Amino acid sequence: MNPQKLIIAGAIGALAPVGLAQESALSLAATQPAKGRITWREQARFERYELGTEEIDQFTIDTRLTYGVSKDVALTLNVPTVLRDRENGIDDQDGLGDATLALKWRFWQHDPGPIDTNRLALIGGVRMPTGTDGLSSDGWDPMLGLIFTRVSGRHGMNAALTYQVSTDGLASPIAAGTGTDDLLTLETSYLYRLSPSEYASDTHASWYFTVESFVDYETNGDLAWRVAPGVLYEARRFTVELSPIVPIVNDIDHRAELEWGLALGVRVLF
Amino acid sequence: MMYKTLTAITLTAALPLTLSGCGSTQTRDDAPAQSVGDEMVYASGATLRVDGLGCPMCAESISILMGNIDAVTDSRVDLSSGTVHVDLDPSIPVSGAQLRSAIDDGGFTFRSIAFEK
Repeated sequence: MNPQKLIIAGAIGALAPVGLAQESALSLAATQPAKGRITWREQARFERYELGTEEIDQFTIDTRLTYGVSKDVALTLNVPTVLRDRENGIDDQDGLGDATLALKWRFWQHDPGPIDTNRLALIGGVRMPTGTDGLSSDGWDPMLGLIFTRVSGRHGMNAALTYQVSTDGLASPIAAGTGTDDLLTLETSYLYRLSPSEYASDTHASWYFTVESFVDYETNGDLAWRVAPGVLYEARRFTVELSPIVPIVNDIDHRAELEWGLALGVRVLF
Repeated sequence: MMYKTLTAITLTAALPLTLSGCGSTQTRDDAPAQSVGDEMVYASGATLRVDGLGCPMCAESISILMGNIDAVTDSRVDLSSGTVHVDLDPSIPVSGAQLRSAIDDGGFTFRSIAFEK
């Protein structure tokens, strides 16, 4: 990737301010900001793909604003900025990607203890064709999903099943869900609170080990499984997360294959 | 082959679901929440019992919401006991319902409240 572009993208990521906890870096959770509050999340993600014999480096910065409409409903706008560097040197692209607007409704919650919770939420949204040429699927792609979150003592988990309908799509897609086929995704994540082992009255921050798993199945038969182990530091007003992304299965014939990735994120609560 | 791969992946991906079941923590009875009314009181403080706090950032949400209530001068969230203590200006009236609403709006489960005169 062009070093100048990397530096610019890194600087934007580092300067961008601040989210919600027991949420791992990349996967969905049935959590949301309080009514009337906003969380701001910036996540920088580097991914290296392989398309045939060509290497493609993609640097994405996701800017995500989530507003608590009520105690059970949240509205999220995610706007990606993408820098794509292709080995062939002639198809480099940069600019806005397709923004996604989503509504999450937590329809069930059971809190059995002070720090324990079980939550179920429905998520529905649409990916909009806001991206620049080559980075946009050019369609209005609806998405629907079910999310479960459980926090029990030092353990937390999230599981989400989502289905995205593709109404258009790139002829030569790089990532899952950007072609002309629908995408079914199963996301699961596990979080273990490394420190403190027990909360105290003056606890202001926690360290977590996280592991996330993503299974992407596209209706053209492409199947991919990615795993992202990572660490997460959560203070009362901000969270920092770092996760390498490793492909386990790449049974793909219609798009590029992920070689590896790295995600660095910051979230801030307002 | 495709179905076997998909099945293996799904089972492995679901592992966190089983891991999360081994957490143990203090749990409370599922007793109904204390009912609180709109009657205004003058108090120097209050302690609320809350469930579902989950994390330090969740606790901060409560502090922010409590700060929007006129009578509240300070608040402290104790994750270890699931209690929220608020310091109140004794010259400004406040109701239990007002304080409870900060817990509800945060998406947490209110259990009880005790005022300090």
